[in-house]
Amino acid sequence: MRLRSLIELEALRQSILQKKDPNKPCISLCSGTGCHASGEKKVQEAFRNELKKRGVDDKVEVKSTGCFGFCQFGPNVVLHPEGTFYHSVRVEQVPDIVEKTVLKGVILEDLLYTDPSTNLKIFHEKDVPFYAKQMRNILGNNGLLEPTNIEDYIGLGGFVALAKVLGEMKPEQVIDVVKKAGLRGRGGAGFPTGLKWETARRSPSYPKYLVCNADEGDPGAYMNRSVLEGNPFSVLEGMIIGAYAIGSAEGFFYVRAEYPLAVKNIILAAKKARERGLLGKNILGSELDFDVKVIKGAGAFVCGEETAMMASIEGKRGMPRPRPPFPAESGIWGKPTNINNVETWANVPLIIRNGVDWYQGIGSKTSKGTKVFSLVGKIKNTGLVEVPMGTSLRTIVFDIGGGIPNGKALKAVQCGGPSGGCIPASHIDVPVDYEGLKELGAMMGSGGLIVMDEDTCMVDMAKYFVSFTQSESCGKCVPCRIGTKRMLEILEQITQGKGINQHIATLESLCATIRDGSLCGLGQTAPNPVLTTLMYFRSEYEAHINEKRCPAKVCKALIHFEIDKDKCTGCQACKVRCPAKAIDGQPKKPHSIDQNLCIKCGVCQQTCPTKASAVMRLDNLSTEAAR
Amino acid sequence: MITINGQQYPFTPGKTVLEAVTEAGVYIPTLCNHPHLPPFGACRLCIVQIDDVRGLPTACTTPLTDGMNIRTESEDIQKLRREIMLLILSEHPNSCLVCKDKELCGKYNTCTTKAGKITGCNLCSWKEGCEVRKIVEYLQIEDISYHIDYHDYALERDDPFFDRDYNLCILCGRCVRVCEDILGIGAIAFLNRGHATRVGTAFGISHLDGGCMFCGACVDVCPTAALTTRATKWLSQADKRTKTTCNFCGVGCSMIIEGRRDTVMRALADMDGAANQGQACVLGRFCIPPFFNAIGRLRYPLVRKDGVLTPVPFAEALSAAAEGLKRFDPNDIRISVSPKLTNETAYLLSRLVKEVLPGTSMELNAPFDSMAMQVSFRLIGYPGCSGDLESIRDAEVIIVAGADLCIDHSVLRVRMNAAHKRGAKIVWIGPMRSGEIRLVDYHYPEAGIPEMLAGALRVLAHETQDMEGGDAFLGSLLAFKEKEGAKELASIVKGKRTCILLGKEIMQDRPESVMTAAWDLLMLTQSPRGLIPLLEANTQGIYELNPTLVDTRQKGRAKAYYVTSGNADVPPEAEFVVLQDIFESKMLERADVVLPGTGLPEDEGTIVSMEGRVQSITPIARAPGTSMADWMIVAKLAEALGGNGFNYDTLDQVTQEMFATSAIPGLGLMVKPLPASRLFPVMATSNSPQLPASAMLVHAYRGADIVDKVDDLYRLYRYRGVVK
Repeated sequence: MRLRSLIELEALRQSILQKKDPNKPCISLCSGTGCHASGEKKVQEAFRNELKKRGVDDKVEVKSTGCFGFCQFGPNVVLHPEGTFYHSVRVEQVPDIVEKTVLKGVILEDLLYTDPSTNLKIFHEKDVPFYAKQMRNILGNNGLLEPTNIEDYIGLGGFVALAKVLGEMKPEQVIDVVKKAGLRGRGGAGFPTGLKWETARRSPSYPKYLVCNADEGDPGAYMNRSVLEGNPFSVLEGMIIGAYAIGSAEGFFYVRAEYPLAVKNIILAAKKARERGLLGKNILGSELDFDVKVIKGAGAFVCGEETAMMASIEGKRGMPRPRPPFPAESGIWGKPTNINNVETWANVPLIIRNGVDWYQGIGSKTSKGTKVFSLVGKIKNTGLVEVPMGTSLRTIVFDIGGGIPNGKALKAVQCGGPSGGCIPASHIDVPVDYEGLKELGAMMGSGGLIVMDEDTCMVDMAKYFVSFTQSESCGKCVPCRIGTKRMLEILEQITQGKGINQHIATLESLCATIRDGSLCGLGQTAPNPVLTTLMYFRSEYEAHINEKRCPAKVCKALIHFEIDKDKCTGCQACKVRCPAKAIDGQPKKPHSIDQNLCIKCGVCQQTCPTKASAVMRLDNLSTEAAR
Repeated sequence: MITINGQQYPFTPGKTVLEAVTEAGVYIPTLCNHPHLPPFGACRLCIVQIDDVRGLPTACTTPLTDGMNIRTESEDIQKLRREIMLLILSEHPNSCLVCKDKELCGKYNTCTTKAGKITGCNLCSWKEGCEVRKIVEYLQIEDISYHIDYHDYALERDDPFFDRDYNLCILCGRCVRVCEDILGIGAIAFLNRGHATRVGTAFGISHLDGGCMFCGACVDVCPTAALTTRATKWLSQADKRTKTTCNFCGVGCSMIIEGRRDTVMRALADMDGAANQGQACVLGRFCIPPFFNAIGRLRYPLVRKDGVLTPVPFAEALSAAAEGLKRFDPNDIRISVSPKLTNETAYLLSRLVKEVLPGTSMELNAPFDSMAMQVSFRLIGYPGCSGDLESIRDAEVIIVAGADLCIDHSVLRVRMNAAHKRGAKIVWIGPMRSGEIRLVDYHYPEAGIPEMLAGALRVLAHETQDMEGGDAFLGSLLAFKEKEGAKELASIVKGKRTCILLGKEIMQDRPESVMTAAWDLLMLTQSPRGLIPLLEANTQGIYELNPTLVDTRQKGRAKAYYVTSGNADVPPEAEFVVLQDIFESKMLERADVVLPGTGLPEDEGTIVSMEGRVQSITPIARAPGTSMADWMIVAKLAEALGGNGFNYDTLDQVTQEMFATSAIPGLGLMVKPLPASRLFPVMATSNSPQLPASAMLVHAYRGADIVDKVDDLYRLYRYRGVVK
């Protein structure tokens, strides 16, 4: 069971490859949390039952794999070896799929993805436009393996990089390769990884600790989750290589508790690796001792900050501390500590395997390699996207993302979550890398991309992010704890129609204080959503303040609902659904809304039959006559 | 070399930028920083500009490097400091700070009005000391444009000793850090996050429940009036203050006491105190004013006439005392010395005995101390501790036997915590009531301390290495029964620098054996400086001046008694009793002459702490009525008995004479010689009377119990199970 040498690893790989029957049918189901939420487990069960019923369960494999990334359209299924791609599969469709496609090779066209620009059906996963412009180096294997099946991973080339490192390279050489490749931290700061490793290696004290930062707190970001759920061995391999390079014998996975599947998978993957001698003492017969512990977070966004994370790992309250000293000199329990993001670790085996030149050939001048983004919000193809650095935002949003649904116009894209900023539609051609977005005042951050259309109020959006940062602030330093609260109060006043002229100047002053005075990255970047929305959408702020008008008609205090008497058929649907009992009217006669009772929930507009569309969302300057 | 604001200064490694700047005499505003606490970096006021360092780092957390170029003030820095201060003020009652009338108001409205809720400086008890006020002045803040928020937390006044008004708290974190890092207790911490962040106990339980020792360290470091001493907060400004030494126990904490019109008002820990290093305990910090100002103080000298104690002038009382004592052969006279008496008083008593009443026996009114001094003299060649208090901080293993650090010597916890943080192991033998739990690594709660130590000695016996006395020592161990845990104890201490703290409760069972076994253990671990019996306030001084103090439990009874504490052991058949004390006690029923002396805030003189540190006691108050200083009473009594050379004008004359002629050379730490390496046989049985636990737990100050006079202390001890 235990692999005691590189030769034994290679022998195992060969035997796995030999055992693989390329022609054996395999039903791969995406088992990421997104598809899980769409009902993948039941679909999987249905497949297994159906195959058993037909007595072919030994001839057809069912594989529950890592996240495919095409989250909008789950549950997603790929049928190998043909590579046929079915999306939004329901349990009722399973018998048909088995009988027709699996056993007879007949394609069910209804289940195929339709390219919205050509209206053509797509057979193969790789031809789906969503995937066509991606370069799925990190996520690519997700659909081909069972996340905690170590043999699947080995069969796909897993641990080749580790074998190369242990067999042919000295630790300094490994660091050199990572430096030359130009890998930069994927957690948001973009610090050169090789340099970080080198500082940790050079630190004279022992023991040295490695940490995988899987706290991923940005709302809307789930890249790390999918990598850790879908291919935990890739991250593990990166860490073992890092342990060798730095001289560490103990690593920690700090996973946010809200990712139970990721926690489960990494614990299981580590266990399997240990059984195989890929973790623990004398890894693959070498002198390297390294093992990992999995630590769950406890619901604090601030613990994604490295010094707060280290405090949390030590069992203390997750509060950051100033640097210097830097973690690479003095970290957990005062020892040299190297912390990297999940995606950064996952990049390492690829760089070792494919070489510096390969990596340098991907990406932009300053930012090499690919980046995984979570594309969410007002977008047709919600999901995980992996592209070379420097790809334009336009390509991501329109070519890959499919554009804005319901015919709405793109307004802005929020990059980097609550620490980032928004890029307005006018700058949609910006290349997405570390420097490109910084020039526009935003930040790539960890890769969350929230798409907004004309129905998004930018002031409301800024308020949302500031309320997030305010409630997640650890409370230690004055600018963040009190400053964000004062900012939030002002934004609340503005969105409630109580804004005054002075507020914008006060906001700008507060932003500077918080940015320049805060102790850690949470506080230092908390003003970004406000600063960028002020920069690009100042007119919206001014409308809220001077005209008491919300241009996007979102802020409840500045809008009201009215029923168009000419369109209302008196069907009473809205009256019945209104939670405030604010609608009155006789059957078959036009209804009206009592503005004193209305709570602006918008249910009436949603309920009103499309043919009538009698409910109007109006700003408070418009009277009944505004149509 | 480093540069600060254009001036060059020498570079010292191991300092922070803030320390370097402060040493250079340059001012930087700070709120969360405290010289005794590890830096925090939370208030952001100490920001500076440093060449080649991005942004504005905080001076308190940045390590100083050679060649640094630092600017402490600039337009940008001041602007940011002002903005940060405005944010702090937006959540701290600030109306007085920015009131246009504040100058006039401050000048003419001197008395702070007692208030429940504090909404401005003029209603605040800490107006004069508040650090927020000082920085507001430095930054010249005139107005606050931000929305003002008042958290409206409930005032916390249900725990003993100190009040908490977290509406004033600026979250500097000093209280949390001192409790966690210095004391090692962590009764309070930061709770919640975001705007709801606050300081408090876990789950909102009371401080009594939360393990708070009420040492007052948090109250001392709080920059605002968020934490205040209930008994003294509204007492207005002191008109004098002085440094003195607390005599509630033998640690000898240096305290600053404040007085107003001859009454002691408050006590604070002296930051520069050698023994206590800025810390104190609940007794020294909170109990000095309430105890010494309590009712029941003896005010006038009394003489029993026709069976009734009658107030008389001092001269009459002294001559009545002298006449009474003269009726007896000195061999039938016993003097009971309170361990609270100063060196000067003890010195004069020793002169009284030697020159005026030769043959009189003297005993220390502290059974544990008497035993410890006699036994230590035998073991190490001189009475007292074999090392100073730094032995605790330096130890690799600290054993505490028979002590209750909640009651006295609490400040030693700070050294124990420092040692513990460095990796030292703490072993507790005996019952443990509370507070120590976090620090203790090994706990052996059952009785049988001699068996425990003997068992460990047996395991370590092969380490004797031909030490003197080894044979008798080994032989004596055979008489002890086996004890569980002894082997483990041996493995814990083996090869480690050990320190053993012995407390009063060992008196319950063969105390001499415990001390001897403790010494043998220290010998076998090469730790000669580790014998630390937890002595009373001036036991060491009294023994230095009277080396022949007997353990009178062996001696027998006398006929006439001159006692300096109301709880001295005076047998019913005693024929004449002179009582010199400060509080009324049951002894009044027996006393023939009563002479009112002085307590700590009224005392003047020197005492020697348990580690041998000679420190001064300086008065701030006047004793009530016609009370006289204890030393003066002894001098005048000696004169009345016919003694010569007792006519002193000032105390200083006594002190100088004492320094010149006795074993106490002057102020400062008395250096003790390294004891000889010797093992001693440990007795498995003992004939000497043992004292029950109930006799140990009283917190006596001469004839009165502090617990009886200070309600909050009674509450605390009752809660901890120390008293019923």
